[in-house]
Amino acid sequence: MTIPQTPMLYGAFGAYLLAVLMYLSHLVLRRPWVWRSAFVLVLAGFAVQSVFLAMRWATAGYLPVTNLFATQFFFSWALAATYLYFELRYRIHAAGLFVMFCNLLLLGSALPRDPALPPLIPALDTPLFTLHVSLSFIGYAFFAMAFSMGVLYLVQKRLQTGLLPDLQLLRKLNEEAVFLGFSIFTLCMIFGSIWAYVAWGYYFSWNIKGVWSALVWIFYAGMCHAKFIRRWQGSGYALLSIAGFGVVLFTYLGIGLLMSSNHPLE
Amino acid sequence: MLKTILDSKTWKLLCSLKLTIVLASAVTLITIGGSVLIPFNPKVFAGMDSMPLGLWVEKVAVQTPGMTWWVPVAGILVVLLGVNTLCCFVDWVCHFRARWRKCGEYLIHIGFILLLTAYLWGSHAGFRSENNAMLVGQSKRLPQLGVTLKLENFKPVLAPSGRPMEMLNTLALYRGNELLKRVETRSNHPLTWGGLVAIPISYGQTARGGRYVPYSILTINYDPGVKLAFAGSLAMGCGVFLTLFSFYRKRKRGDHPDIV
Repeated sequence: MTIPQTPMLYGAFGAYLLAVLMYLSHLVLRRPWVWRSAFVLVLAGFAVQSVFLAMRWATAGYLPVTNLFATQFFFSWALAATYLYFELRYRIHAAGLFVMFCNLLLLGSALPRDPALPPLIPALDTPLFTLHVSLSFIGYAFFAMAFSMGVLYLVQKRLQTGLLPDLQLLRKLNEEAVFLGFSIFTLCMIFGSIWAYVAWGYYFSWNIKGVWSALVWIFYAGMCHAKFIRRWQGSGYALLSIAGFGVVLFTYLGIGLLMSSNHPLE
Repeated sequence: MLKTILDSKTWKLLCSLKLTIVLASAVTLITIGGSVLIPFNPKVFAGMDSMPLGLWVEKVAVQTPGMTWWVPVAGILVVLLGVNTLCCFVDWVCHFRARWRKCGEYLIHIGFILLLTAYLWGSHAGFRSENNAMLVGQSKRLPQLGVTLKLENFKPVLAPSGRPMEMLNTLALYRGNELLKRVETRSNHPLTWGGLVAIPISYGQTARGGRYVPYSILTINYDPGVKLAFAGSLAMGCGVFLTLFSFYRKRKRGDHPDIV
């Protein structure tokens, strides 16, 4: 199957870029047609990305998430899916701007990279790998959404603007994003552990990637408890969401690019 | 008696959410600081995956305490987190109110406890053996388990470019003359028996009788806690699905959590 890689990639990027610009306009104009257009553009970009991902999966015979381009692309797809979930469920409109901006950066930085599909090495040829990697990026996407909601909560608390959802909704969205991210990341860790056991003979690795993945899990497990403590709700929870995403970013990009680990990105 | 214990301040502290958060934060901070040393000191930390943690602490960590102190400290904090989780679980069982309320959350709790127990058990009573080079027909005795592992057949599969693609090993496990298990192993399909796992990791060639003969390189590990760890993973996985289900159900009903 020949995949029109360049038009599809740039098409999705263009749709997201226009969507971000429309959401920015919505902050100024406050017209329903503006956010509706932006939402349609996100839907269009997500549809193109989904078809592109499906075509690459069918061509390769495995879910292509084995190098930096492929993981950035999948992460971007998961971010768009997460945004659509919150938009359809809560009509967050421009409050999702930050996530879409992150998505734009992620997809934009993937564009110059080689999208070629490498042959799959036998060690990665297992459904456990597919489940482990896909669930990890979907979990990361929810953590990115929690980060975004945390930032907006702090901005809204300071500015008290009508442009953003009220504090109660932002807090609820943050908690939901953390909860969903933690649940999905737990499944990712379970499948990863089983895979590690059949591939290496142990289910927990003291490699830095394994240690930091466990840290991400413990950190967000703590956050799932923190929401039940009044003093930690609101600003404290928002700050924790921001710090947590820092840990996530280092686990994905910092370790993958700067350090030698058993999860290389290049 | 039970009521006195459950109402005591010590028990309430052991079950407290605040303790969970303090311990989780402390583990995170200490491990963030310590783990940065891992990639820059491979001589110290590379052995952590090639031997059980207990042995690594005895053999390596005690030689370099300045660099490795954070591992036992983080370990103690995680164990305390496990105790806190266990007390929380017991408290929930003792104060069981609604049949299904929070079942998912507490399955995750019990899954974590089982996983932690399994890891500690494996770290104490397991063994790991890497780079076991074996020719076809050779056997390796595992005296700790009273069994013998035999390589009955070995065939490396190469790509047309000559790149190694797969290693097909027929491994058999014997106790005396009794065959316990025979498996054709390859990537992600090891021989497993009880807590024993034998995995083909690589291969090489050696000169025998004027020709080159391939040999298989195996990793042979034993972890007595692996079944418990699997039970913990299963509990945790089921807990996640139940929690997701109850989350949406509670949201629909407008059921809000208890805030401390």
